[in-house]
Amino acid sequence: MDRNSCKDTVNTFKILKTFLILTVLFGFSPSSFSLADQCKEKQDNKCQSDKAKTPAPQMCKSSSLPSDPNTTPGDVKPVMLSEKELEKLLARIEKDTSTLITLKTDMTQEKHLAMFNDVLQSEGMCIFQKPNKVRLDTTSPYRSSLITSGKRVVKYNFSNGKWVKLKLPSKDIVLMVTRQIADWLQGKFITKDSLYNISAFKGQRTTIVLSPKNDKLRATLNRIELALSEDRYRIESVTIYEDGNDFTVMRFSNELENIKLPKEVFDTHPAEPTRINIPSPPIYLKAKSSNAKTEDKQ
Amino acid sequence: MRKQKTNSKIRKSAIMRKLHSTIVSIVLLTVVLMACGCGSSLRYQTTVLQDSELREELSSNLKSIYPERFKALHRVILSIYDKQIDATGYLMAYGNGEYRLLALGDFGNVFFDISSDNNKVLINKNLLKLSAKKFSKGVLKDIKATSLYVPVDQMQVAQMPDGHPVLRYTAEKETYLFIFNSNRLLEEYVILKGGQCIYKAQFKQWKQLPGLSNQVPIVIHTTNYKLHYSLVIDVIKFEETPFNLNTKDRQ
Repeated sequence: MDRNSCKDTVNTFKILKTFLILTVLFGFSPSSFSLADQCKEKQDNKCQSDKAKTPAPQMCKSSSLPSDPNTTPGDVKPVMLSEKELEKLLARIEKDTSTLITLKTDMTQEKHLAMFNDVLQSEGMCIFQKPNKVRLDTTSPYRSSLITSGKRVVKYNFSNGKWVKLKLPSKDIVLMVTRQIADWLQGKFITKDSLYNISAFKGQRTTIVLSPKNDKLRATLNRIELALSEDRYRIESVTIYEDGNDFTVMRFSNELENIKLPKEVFDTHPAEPTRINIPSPPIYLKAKSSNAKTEDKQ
Repeated sequence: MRKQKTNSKIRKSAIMRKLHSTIVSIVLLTVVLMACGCGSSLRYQTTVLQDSELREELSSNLKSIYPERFKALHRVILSIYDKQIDATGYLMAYGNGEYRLLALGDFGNVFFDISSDNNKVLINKNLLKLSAKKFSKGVLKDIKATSLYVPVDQMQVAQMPDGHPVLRYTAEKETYLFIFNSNRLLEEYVILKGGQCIYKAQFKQWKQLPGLSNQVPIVIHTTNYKLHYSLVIDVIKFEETPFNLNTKDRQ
C-alpha cells in the first residue's frame, strides 16, 4: 500500500468514526448532565439575565423556547421551572423509574424537513432491560436493529432481501451512548461527564430541555426536548432540534413495563436479529427494588 | 577449479530460480489486479453497432426508467474497506439535472446535504468534514447512477463481447457504458477511464412501485473503485413529483 492509500485508509476510518459519533450523538444524546452546571457557563449568564427580563420561558442561549411540536395554539403557556423545581423533578423521575426492570415501547419518528416542506416517517420499537441492555428496532419503512448487551454491540440492516450484520467502525462509542440511553430510561440524568445543560419547563406537559455545552456540538444540535407523561413522568416524546428549522420527533406509545423478555431479544451472536416474541398477555416481572434481581410473577 | 565452477553454476541456477519466481509473482499480481475492480477490462471492450432501431429502443428504455422530477427515499449501506455503516438517503430530482441529496442518520440527523446542478455540486452541509473535491466527485457519480440523468441523445449503440447490448458515450476522458440484459432492462452502468473501470452500478430487482407506470430497480449496488467505497442502495419509496423549477418549493 503506498503512502496515499495509507493516508486514504486513515482518513476513511476517521470519517467512519465521525459518522458513528454523529449518529449516536444526535440520536440518543447522553442524558447525563449536572444540575450544578446549569446556566453557570459564561454564555449562560446571558440566559440568567434574559430570564430576569422575560417571565416566560427564555432558557439558555441555545434553547430559546419550546416550539413544542406536540402543542397546539391555545395550549397552556410554558413556564420555566426554577432550579429547585428542576431538582425536585429529576429526583422524582429517578425515584419513579427505579422500579423499572424491563421496558418495551413502540416508537414513531417524524423528521421534519423545513426546506422541503416534507415529513419523513418511520416506525419501530425500543426495548430495554436493566441495567445495560438496549435494543432499537426500525420496522418501517426500512428494517434495522441496533442491539447492545453489556459490552457487546451489533447493528443489523435488512438490505437486498436479507439481513446484513454490519461491521461497525467503532463499538465503544455506540456502547457509551447506549449506556447513556439506559441511564436516561432509568431516570439518571445527573452524571459527571455531562455534555448538556439541563433545564425544564411546564406547559401542556412537563418537558426537560438539554442544551449542548460544547460550541462544536451546538453548531449542529440546538437542543433536545424530552416531554414527560403527566402521570408517571415517563418519557413520552423526544424532539431533537438541529441547526436551522429541521427537527425530529420520536414518540413512544404502548409501553409495556417490567415484562419478561426472552433472552434472545438481546442476543448479539446470530447472523440476523432474533424475532421478538412476547406472549399475549405478557408475563410480568415483580420488581423488588432498584437493584434487585427479577422474578416471575406468574 | 571444478568445485568453484560447480559453486558458480549452483549460484547462477539459484539466481535464475529467484528471478523466475519473481517474474511469476509479478505476472500473477498483474493478473489479480486486472481481475479486481470491475473485473477484467477486456469485458468492457465494446463493438459499435450501426443499428438505429436498437439504439432507439435502448434510449427509450433508459429515458423512461425514471420520471424527470421525483423524490426517492433510499436505505443505504456504505462500505469502506471492511467497515460498514447504514444511513437513509433522500434524493430529490427537480428536472434538468438539478438534484438535492440528504443523508440522514437513524434518528433523523442530517449528515450531509448537497445540491447538484448538472456537473456542479454545492455542499450545503457536511458534518462528516469530507474532502469537498473527492466527496463532490463521488456523490455526483452516485446521483447519476441513482437518477440516470444522462445525455441519451449523444449515445452510440454497441455490443459487449458476451453479446449484451450497450449504450455508450464519452465525456471528459471518461467512457460511460449502459449495459442491458437480454430483456433490454438496464443491468449495469460502468465508467471507464484510461481503459480502467473506475465506477460500477448494478441494477437489480425491477419492480413496479405504486404511482409509477414503469418498473424501477429497487436495489442498486454501486462501487467507486477510485475512492474505495461501495453502496448497497435499497429503494424504499419513490414518488413522481410535480416540482416546478419556478416555484419556491426547492430553495
